[in-house]
Amino acid sequence: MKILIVDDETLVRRSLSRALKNKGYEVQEAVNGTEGLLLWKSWEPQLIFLDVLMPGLTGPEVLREMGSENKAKVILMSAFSGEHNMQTALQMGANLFVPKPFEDIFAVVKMAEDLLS
Amino acid sequence: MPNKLDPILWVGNASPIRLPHFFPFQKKEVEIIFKASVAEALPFLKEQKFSSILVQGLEIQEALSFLVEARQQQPMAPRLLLAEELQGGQVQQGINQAHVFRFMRWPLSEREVWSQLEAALQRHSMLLSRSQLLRESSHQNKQLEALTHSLEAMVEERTRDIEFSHHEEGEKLNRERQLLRFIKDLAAQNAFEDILGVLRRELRKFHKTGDPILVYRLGGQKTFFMSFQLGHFTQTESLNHFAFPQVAQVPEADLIRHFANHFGRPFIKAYVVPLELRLTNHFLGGRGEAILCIESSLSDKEMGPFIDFVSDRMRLLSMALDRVLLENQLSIFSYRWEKTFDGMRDPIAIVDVDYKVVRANRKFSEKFLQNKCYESFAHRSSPCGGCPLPQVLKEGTSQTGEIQVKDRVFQVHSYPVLLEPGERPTNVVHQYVDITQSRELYLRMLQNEKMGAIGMLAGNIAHELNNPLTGLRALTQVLLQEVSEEGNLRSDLLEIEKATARSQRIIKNLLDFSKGEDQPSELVGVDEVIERTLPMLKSALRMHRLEVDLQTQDRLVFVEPHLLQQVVFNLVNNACQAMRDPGRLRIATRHQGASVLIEIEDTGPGISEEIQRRIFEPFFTTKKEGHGTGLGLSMSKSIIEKFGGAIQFQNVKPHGSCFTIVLPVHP
Repeated sequence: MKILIVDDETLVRRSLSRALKNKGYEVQEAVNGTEGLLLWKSWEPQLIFLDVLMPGLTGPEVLREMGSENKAKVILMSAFSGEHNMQTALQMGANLFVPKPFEDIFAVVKMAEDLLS
Repeated sequence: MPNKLDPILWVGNASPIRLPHFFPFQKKEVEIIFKASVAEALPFLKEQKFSSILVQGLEIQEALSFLVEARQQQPMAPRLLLAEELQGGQVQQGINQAHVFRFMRWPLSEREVWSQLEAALQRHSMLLSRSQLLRESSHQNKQLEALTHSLEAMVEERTRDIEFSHHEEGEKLNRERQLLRFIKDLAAQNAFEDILGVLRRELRKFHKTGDPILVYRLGGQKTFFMSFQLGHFTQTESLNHFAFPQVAQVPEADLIRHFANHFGRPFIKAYVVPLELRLTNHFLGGRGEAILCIESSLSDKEMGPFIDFVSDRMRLLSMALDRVLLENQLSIFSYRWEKTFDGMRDPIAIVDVDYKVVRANRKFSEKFLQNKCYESFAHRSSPCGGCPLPQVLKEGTSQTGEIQVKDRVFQVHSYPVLLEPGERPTNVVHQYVDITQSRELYLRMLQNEKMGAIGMLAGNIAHELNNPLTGLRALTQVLLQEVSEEGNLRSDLLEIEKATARSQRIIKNLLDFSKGEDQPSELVGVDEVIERTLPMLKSALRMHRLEVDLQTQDRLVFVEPHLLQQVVFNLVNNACQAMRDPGRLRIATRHQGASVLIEIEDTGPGISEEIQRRIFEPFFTTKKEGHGTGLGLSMSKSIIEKFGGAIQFQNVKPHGSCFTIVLPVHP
């Protein structure tokens, strides 16, 4: 199972990556939207953690680029919870919305596993 | 004595004696006229005057009757009778009837005759002169009488003259006196009614005149009529225009018709006098005119004194009515100004250089006279801080300042009143514009903007911090799972995890706190709100000891949490600032009946009574300029009141003060 993490914050990428790898998932990291989009095309992950606010392409822009071709599940993450919520995330083509900061990373991992199963 | 004596009449035959034709008497020659018989002599008695009459040698009876006739005809001529024989009876008869002067017996000597004639002529002369004297004296008497008579007439005339002029003088004096009284009466009157009343009283003596009617126009469309109707002074007006006569006159039918139409009754005859409105016209720019109309049924003869009477008084009346008209106009004018000022929204006062109020409108104060402006308006005993008056007097130009009166802030526009250009102002007009609300709105807006900016800044910072914090915390959590159960590394990681968790909470609080308005109210616990607020007060509290005693966990209130946070923040911050030396700050919550109480108590100096009264006023601040808006407590009060609660405070022993927020518990 291949999981792509797109976030400009190193610690967020690393913590998610470690937690998921520990669970036995294959994980790739992208530092911005553009890189993420390239990896999505070439690597074809089943699940993508996608941050909203990033330099270059933002999360929603990445979603728009992928469009209907996308077969991967997407978890949209945002620290600026005022603008986005579950509803807007679903409208943009994501499958889940996770507000940052998260209290417990394992709860987030659990949600991701639920989504994949 | 006449120069020539009348002739002597000799009746009879004088043959025995020689008679001359002239008889010498007193150096004159008197003619003797001879007549032979009575019949011959009789006609002469009637035609000629004689100095004496002598009858000789005739029959006695005939002679006697002739002499009687002669006596009647010519009493002044002495009568002489010459007879041969004379009896006593005949003598008697001669004396009694003919008043015979001498009886002489015939014949007798010539000499005797001449001497008798001489005596007769003497007698005649005597009689003549006596009669002349008599005539003279009676004439003189008459003249004297006439003289006396004319003298009396003259005296009488003079007396009459004197009496007449005395009367005239009296009349004149009387007239002057009446005029003087009229002037005095008029001078004492200040109303049309009284002035016309004075004239009305004066006119009564003519009996046949009506009450005076005053008609005037002051440049407008309206014509005003002041009259007495049924004895009551009445003022009416009309929009009909008609020309006022320019000279005193019995007016034409046209004018009379206007009067009749206006009063709705017939006017037969009237006298109209134009009045000169010198003062009023000066004030109104020459558009005022007035006439006085007096109805009368006086005859032409009575009209003269009446016209004299009226023209005597017209100038005085003109002046008096002019004065009253002017006074009326002035008082209307000043009334209009007064109403204008009273109608204005802002308080306005005219003050002198010593702050004494000369005039003011109703908005300024009901009682202002004799008071200083700061006494009546601001209820102070000294000029208000920020009053622009001294500057106006110094510069002589309009100035603006701001003063505070109780909880209101006024912008004072101060305009100098310059009676003479180039001179120093003697008065100043103050217009007080209440800017409390606009200033409050402005400062609130400023506050909101500040809060908004802080909110945005906090949002940005929060986002920037949240991202790494999220990663930090997540990674720590992952690491914690990976490390062995025992050992220092695990406990270190645990501390990092806790610190990141706390940081996240603080950021969340900051975000909540800096949220703008229009956040929905929600049910929260007061204790929770306080707990969230305290971390943000760490720097304010660093000098002081904090005691927290929260006892309302199970009670919820319905508020906008971020606003309640702001209030708590404010009160705690104030309390910390009040304690200049390190002190103790106690925050406690408890419930009391249906209320939750939040007590914030410090150990500062407490609040003086004067400040207590004003502590919740907007803009009231004890802080230095630029260090506080003076809005904190007033806004806190309005926020808590919006939640249905109240803020109270009291000083505490031994020193310090305690603010209590009371909020209703949500049922």
